[in-house]
Amino acid sequence: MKRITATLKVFLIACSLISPFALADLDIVVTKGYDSQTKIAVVPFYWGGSSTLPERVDNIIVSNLTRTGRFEPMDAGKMLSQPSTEEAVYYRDWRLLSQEYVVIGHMEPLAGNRVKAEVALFDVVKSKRVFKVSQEIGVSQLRDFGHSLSDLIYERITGVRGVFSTRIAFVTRDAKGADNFEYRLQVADADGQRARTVYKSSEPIISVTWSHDGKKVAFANKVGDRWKIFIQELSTGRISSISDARGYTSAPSFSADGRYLAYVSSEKNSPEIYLYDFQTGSSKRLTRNTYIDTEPSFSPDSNYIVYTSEKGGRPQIYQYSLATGRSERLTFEGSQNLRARYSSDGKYLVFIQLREGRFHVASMDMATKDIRVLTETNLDESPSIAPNGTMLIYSTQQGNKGILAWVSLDGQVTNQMASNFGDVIEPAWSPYLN
Amino acid sequence: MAKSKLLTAAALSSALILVACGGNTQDEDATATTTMTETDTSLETVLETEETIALEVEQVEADVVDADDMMDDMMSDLMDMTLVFFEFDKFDIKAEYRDMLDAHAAYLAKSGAKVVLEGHADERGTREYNLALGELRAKQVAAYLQVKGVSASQIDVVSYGEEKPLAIGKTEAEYSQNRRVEFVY
Repeated sequence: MKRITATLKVFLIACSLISPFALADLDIVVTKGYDSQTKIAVVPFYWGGSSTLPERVDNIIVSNLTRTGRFEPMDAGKMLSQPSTEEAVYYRDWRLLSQEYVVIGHMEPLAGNRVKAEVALFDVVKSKRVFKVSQEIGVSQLRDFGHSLSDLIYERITGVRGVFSTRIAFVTRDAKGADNFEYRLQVADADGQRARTVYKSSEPIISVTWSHDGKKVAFANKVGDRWKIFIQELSTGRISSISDARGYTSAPSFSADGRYLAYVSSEKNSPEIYLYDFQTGSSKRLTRNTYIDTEPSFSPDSNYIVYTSEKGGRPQIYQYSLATGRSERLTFEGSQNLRARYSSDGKYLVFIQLREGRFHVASMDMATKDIRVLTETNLDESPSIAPNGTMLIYSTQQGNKGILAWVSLDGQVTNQMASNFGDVIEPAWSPYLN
Repeated sequence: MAKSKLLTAAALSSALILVACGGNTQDEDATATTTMTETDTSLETVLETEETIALEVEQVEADVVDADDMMDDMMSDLMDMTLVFFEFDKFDIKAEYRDMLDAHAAYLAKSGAKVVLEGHADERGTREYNLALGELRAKQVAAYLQVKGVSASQIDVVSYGEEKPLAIGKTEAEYSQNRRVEFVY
């Protein structure tokens, strides 16, 4: 029946060859934000070195904060002064400019391609320093440093942990001639930068998902006349697969403890939900009917699996209890509801809803069962919530091209990520990685 | 190819029926042919019988030739059809595809050839759901063929979901082209 194949050397080699050709960066455009935004002045950081640094940390912070739609970073040209030390920060000046927060940074070169950085956040209204970071970092880590600082600033101001240091996985599809495509599974920073190809295929790759420790991704890839689930360890590139003898195998979802993988298999005629146990190496069938059951996803506490079934005539979302083995239908409005994912606190579901002929991203409050449509785009797919529950990433279309887009869980902020490459599809937001 | 050989055999078999029935033109085609040529020897018999009778009754011979051509054309026209289209979010086979599917079934049952049934969906809805829809569409066609005498071992089913559209576009005209099962021999 099911089997896990051991490490495939071929893929390891392929991955190390692919890395140098990683996708160029993707640019994000904020298309809609909040009416009331926090005013923050990120002063251009002082740099004491003679050669230019590869990354401007202050720019990374500005673009991160802008993308959330919650901040209005000040134009550096309008600043009365550009302090880089605490002594030079005059709260009155910043109050005159209606700023609520100020970020300053001071960077000096060190031997061995390293940098000594001091960065501080000030609360202008309370006239006090919020935090100061003093750190030695490698020049190659400047981008990571910028994301960590963004996380800290975001958390101290909003009270919510930032997700700038998390990653997103997605698939790109590039035409290589008639009926000939190249599919790449890529992992990038949460802002779409530093995309790195981890797996590639001439056949479709879909249903990308992360393990809860952020160390592995699972996905489905068509291989000949089969679809197989692959599980890839990101640090080593090591890959294993789960495959049924017949039919297709797809839609993987890890349990929180990493012991189980829920997935769909059409081995027994119609697609059904199964549970693979990594400890025993065996699978158990969870649904049993003649209809389509697919797109399983574990709840954060791993007590439930939410899935799509058309047993009611049209695809709707159901919740399966692993304790009782019973399913409860969750969606009743909208002619179709598909591919649900829980928020990390389990309080919300996000999914695709067909309403008046258009496929939108919608969310459901699990306590009240209230549904809210979050997007105005059509042909939306693959919504995936950030680990702090503030934003979700999804794929949609612009013209005939697949693009990635973001929307806040309250529907107030939307961003789109343009790409110079073919289609970008099937995004999945990682959990916290540190 | 194997296909054209079969068509000849089928045509000859129906010629025999026509002769046996005294020249009555009948519309039973595929069903009759499936039961006819069981072994190579019976095929030889068919050839002999046809020749003999054809020589004796000239009028019948003319009819038989016409019917053969018609049958040939019909079968090859039906075999040239390799696409079955479906309604949105549906996988039941529409009645209009029965003749075509019967012709494919007859050919497969006779020849023992193998076929890949590729199931597809339009781009609306999620990729996974469309993968499932494509799979069920192809399996529905496979089940029909099996009822008509094709062995399960001759059929391979593979779903492409929404990943391989036939037509690019965002109107029902293109979408309807993409909701399909393709016969690939």
